[in-house]
Amino acid sequence: MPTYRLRNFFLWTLILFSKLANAQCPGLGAGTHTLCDPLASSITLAHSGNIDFLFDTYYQINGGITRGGSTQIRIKAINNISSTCQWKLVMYVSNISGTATPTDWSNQTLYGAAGSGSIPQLDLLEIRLDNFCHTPTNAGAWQQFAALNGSSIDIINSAMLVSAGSCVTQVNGAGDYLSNFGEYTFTLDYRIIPGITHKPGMYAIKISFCLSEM
Amino acid sequence: MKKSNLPLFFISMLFLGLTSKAQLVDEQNVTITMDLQPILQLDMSGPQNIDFVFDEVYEYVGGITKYGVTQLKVSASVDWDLYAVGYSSGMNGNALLWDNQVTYGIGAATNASNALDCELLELRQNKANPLNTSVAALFNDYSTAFGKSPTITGANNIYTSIAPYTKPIAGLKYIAGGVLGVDFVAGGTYLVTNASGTGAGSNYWYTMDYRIVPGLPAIFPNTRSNAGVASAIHFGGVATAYAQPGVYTMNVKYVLVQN
Repeated sequence: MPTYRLRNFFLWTLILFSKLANAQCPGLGAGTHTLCDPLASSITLAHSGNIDFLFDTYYQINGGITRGGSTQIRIKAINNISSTCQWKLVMYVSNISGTATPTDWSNQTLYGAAGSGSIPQLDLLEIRLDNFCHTPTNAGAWQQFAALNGSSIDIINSAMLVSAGSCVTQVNGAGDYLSNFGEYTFTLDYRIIPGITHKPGMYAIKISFCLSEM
Repeated sequence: MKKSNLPLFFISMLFLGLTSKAQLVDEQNVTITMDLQPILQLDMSGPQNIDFVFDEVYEYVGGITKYGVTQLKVSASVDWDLYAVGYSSGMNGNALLWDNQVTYGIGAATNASNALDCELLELRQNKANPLNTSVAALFNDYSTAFGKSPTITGANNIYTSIAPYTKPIAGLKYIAGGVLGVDFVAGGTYLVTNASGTGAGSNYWYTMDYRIVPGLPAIFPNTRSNAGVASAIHFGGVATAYAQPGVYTMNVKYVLVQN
């Protein structure tokens, strides 16, 4: 291949992958993807920031800690002109550090002697989500991510359009939490029951909540 | 643009077109942190002070034994060792001698000595140390039954040290575990059923008995050093000495430490 063609090939390839790499949420479904207004639609968290679990007594290690209602997701899904918006909401887990084993939490530091324990895996975290109309998948049930970086849990993900106001499962039409709190707001509980098999230390993971058009 | 570049250009534009439409993609993130602190929790139930009052001859001769005075209950998230250590504040010039708070009578009589070794205190735990493989271990633990006085084995004399937070070396007594890395009790608790049982029957619960035998004369004939031999500093090495009547105190510390 001549030099200029090779250079152009790499140039276009670089542009292509830089565009694709911007997508933090890999959740775009098949379809036209122009039915929702991307500027007016949004996902917001009522309680943002870190959610910290501190285990410093044995009964916490053994019995776990539950943080109820630590995250509240608020959705606004607005139609584009003459279109019918249909959306999905998926959460993804990431162990943040590029050096962490793909199945494990990211370890910030270890305490004390090395001991014989193990690094906790990503399926240690349990999440329960629900709303007034119980629209999410597995509403009200404790769920776990698969122990693999990037694994996901569907919150709303239906191929069929379920319009707002029906107060049934998988509502995914246009609407917003201001006018329809029961279907466009999601409350999340978190629970961790470490048990005694893990190495003492500070660990972290990231959860991404991704709103995208079907 | 050269004609030969057109296919690459169109292919790239096609992909760019797919990704550059006005699409609804929005994202929020939450970071979860988990701080797993190493937990070593020792619950001790029983009186803080254990008093031995010797005011009868039979108590001097036969000693006083206090059964089941201290309950040691462990909950830990890491592998652990547990040991007892005896020492004093050093009032008598040596932290391995009992503190002499009060001397009765007119004062030190001929041959009377207040140099009482902390090692004269004997302990007994209700079950054996689960794992202590120290090379040439003299005594794995305090589980041996109290012997008929005078007892010369040293199997029950408390481990003494002026450095209570330094673990006993190989061969010396632990209640559970040992100095070697392979000697430990795995993390767990008496609160739930585990491989060793549950509650008082598990490896996470120990009941301690105490005994002091002064003897007549009051020379504490059971006193033995950490190594199990007659203490070299017994009454300062004065063979004819006996214990000065008085009030004496010492400290028994139970130390739970990560293996």
